[in-house]
Amino acid sequence: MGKAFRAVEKYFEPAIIVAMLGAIIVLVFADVVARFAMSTSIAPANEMARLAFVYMIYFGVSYAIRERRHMRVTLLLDMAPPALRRVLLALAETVFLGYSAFVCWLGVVITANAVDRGQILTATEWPTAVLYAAIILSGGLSALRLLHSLWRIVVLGDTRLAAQMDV
Amino acid sequence: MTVAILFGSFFLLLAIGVPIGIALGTASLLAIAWIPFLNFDLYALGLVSGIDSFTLIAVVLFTLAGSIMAQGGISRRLIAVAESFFGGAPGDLGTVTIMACLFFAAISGTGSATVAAIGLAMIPALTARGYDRAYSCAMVASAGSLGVMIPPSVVMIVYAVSAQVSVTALFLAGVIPGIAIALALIAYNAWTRRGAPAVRSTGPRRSRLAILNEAKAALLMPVVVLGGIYGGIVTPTESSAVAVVYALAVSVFVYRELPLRDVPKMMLESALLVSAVLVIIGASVAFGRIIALEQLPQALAAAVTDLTQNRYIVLIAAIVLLLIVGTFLETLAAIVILTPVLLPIVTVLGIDPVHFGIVMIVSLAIGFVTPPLGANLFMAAQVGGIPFDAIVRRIFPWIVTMIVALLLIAAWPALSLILPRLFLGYAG
Amino acid sequence: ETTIRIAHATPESSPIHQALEFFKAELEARSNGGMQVEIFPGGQIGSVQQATELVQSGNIDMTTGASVLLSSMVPELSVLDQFLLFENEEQAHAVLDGPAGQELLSKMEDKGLKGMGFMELGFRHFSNSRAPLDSVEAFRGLRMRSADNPIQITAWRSVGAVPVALSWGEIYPSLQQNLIDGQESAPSSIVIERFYEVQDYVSLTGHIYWPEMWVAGLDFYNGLTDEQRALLDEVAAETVTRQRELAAKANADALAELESKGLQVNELPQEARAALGETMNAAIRDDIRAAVGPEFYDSFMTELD
Ligand code: NA
Ligand code: NA
Repeated sequence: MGKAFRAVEKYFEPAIIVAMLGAIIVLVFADVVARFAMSTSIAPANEMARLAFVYMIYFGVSYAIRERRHMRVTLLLDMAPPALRRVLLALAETVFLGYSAFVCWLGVVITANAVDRGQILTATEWPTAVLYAAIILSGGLSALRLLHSLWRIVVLGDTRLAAQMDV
Repeated sequence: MTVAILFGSFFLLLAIGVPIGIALGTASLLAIAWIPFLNFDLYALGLVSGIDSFTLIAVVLFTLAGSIMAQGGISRRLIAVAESFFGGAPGDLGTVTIMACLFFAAISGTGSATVAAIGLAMIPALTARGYDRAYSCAMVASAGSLGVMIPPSVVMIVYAVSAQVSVTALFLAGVIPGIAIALALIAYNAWTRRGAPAVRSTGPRRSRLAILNEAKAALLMPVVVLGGIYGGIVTPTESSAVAVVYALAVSVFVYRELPLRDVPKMMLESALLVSAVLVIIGASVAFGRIIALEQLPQALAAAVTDLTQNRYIVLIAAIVLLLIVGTFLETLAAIVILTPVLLPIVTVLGIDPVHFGIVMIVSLAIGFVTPPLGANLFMAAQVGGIPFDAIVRRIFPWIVTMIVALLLIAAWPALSLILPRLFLGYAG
Repeated sequence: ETTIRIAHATPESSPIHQALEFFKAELEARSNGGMQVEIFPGGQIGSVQQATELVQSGNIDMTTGASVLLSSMVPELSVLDQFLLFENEEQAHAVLDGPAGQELLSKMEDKGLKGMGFMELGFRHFSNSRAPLDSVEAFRGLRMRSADNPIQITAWRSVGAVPVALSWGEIYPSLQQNLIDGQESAPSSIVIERFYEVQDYVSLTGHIYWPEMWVAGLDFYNGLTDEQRALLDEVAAETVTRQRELAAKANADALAELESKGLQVNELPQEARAALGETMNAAIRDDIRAAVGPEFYDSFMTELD
């Protein structure tokens, strides 16, 4: 149970991100080949690639929280003594958490509106809701990741950021 | 009051360490709550439409291509070729990096793709030869701005339509100023690196012919990508997918330096790198729309250009305005909003609209590397794996260098206009 | 005091923007300043679809967009995507201002939009760099830009053309680098977007009439007083009339300008034009009927005769 949970925690977004990027490469390249070799274009390839791209980016936004890769101005954080750094970073992640929860809710609102209006995407003719749902998922997952990050800061005292871990 | 909320909360949140995109987004949400005629849908819709773009797909694909090239042996061979020709010249590998950005600008219309592709290939090599990592990142971020100055450039098309000037004339007009900026950057690098110990590449010395021979497949890469675009086979975005496929084929099957099982990890890495940058672009859409709907750039333009009628002072005032606006507003929006405001003022003073277009585009491109908001800065920090603050600390001399080149371009119209005059008989 | 914010994606030099400037001047004067208008041109607030969503959500009050770009929101508009639907502008105006057009506008209200009227870009023609298009055969193998719209792509394939889905902004560089041979749009667009710099031939195919929908937010519109609404409707009707005059003049001037720039202009012979339209319509008729609903389709097509 614990092992399965840890695997999901570690690989959930990465699996989707890699699948989406793979789909983008195949779609864009196949369209070029189709046009060059068969003088025809795959009508919805462009739109599907854009859809995969939006999902790739917004799942990446959530996973980047786990890796603490989001870019920040760390001037104050770096000057602060450890205790203050912990408080500031907890505060910053709390703002991020509030933002993510709110964005998740806004995603619900625009998705519901798109469903009400029966809005569709031009080329694939899929519901626009499919596109907007990326915001709900990203906001929700980000909120979960941020709760975990806050726990790491407050309980474990882990205030490292990605760029400082590498260099 | 809107300005105070928008910028006050943005800078406050930045200071306490909130991620840049989230600070921008939260500031926008607060401003929307304050402005009676706006509602939060504006923000959520912007998050999607800012990312739902075929052009941006090129950024992640060129990032992946750059990382395959770096890890699959293509970059190493291309660098060996470049060093066999330019090694020992002042600022040697830095010069090569800036030249590579100049060539890549002929493929890409955006700065971030240039920074990603060239940065991933060159920053490790620069570091290995004794360049400071943050310095290298700042160099690539600056040279990445060349992407919009050298055709193809969507930014130039938008200006041409907005100002009703010839696109072809504008494309031609951008070439010499683009090269001038590149030369200025090369000169600054050579000057900084003067006296630095020349680090020779390791390994046995080989003849130039042997190096060229070993790099055959790698040297074909720019040919395939550039040929694809200028041969009318692919669009610039599509060329990024061709680059990925070609780089993968060469690294895996020809050089056999990249095991296929490593590819998913590289894909994840490229996607995360681009996500960390594009979360800021997504959040900036609503920010830009609030600024536009409140007509802030126009108010600022009126304030600045009311000052005087002296042609040089007006031009400098316009440049200052563009540098400020370029920092906070997306380039295309800035052009659409400011061209109608500024162009009538400067044409009355006898400034040529094509020349002014180049001045405007270069000014806005400098905005890509001006903190706190600059797409090239974000990209370069991610690509180099350094904190944002570290690149900010090294960027200012590069910005000053570009501004000096910009002032030269502004003061000397012939630099922009000689090619359109020569090839199109442009009368301006 | 009411402020009406209008965003659109065409440049300031377009007849649409100029007509909206007229709308602004008239409405502000005739309401004695009680109604103010702010116009945001050139796509600075977003593309046609984005601006329409901002109107639906009440962040801006009005926008304009070609019917083909809005058919993903209001499927009934697809009925206008048929080829050779109208013989000339007069017939188009009569149908769109009559009961058929009014029914189309009323379909927008379910989507939170109030149709103010049909502006126009005019009839679309071809420009290309290969050869004059003077027969149906001439379209065979012609690499042309198409909107990212499956119905359009099917139609162009049916006459042997090779449609390449590109966004509006990608047209110029794609023409320049010969990724595509040609594109189709109104003559004024060929001039405004400067496609003539990279094209040699203009063929007057007039294959489709391009209305530009002018829409307001339904909630915004219903929130006005009766008096304000009456004035708005009155000025809007005058604005549409004026826009059509400006568009007609812009297209005529554009054709003259294209000729003076040395582009070779030719007419597509009437029989070829009819054959082209019939082939393409046959390829898409079922899709369009399904998209707009058979009942609506039949009633609209009856109105045409
Ligand atoms: Na370029
Ligand atoms: Na900036």
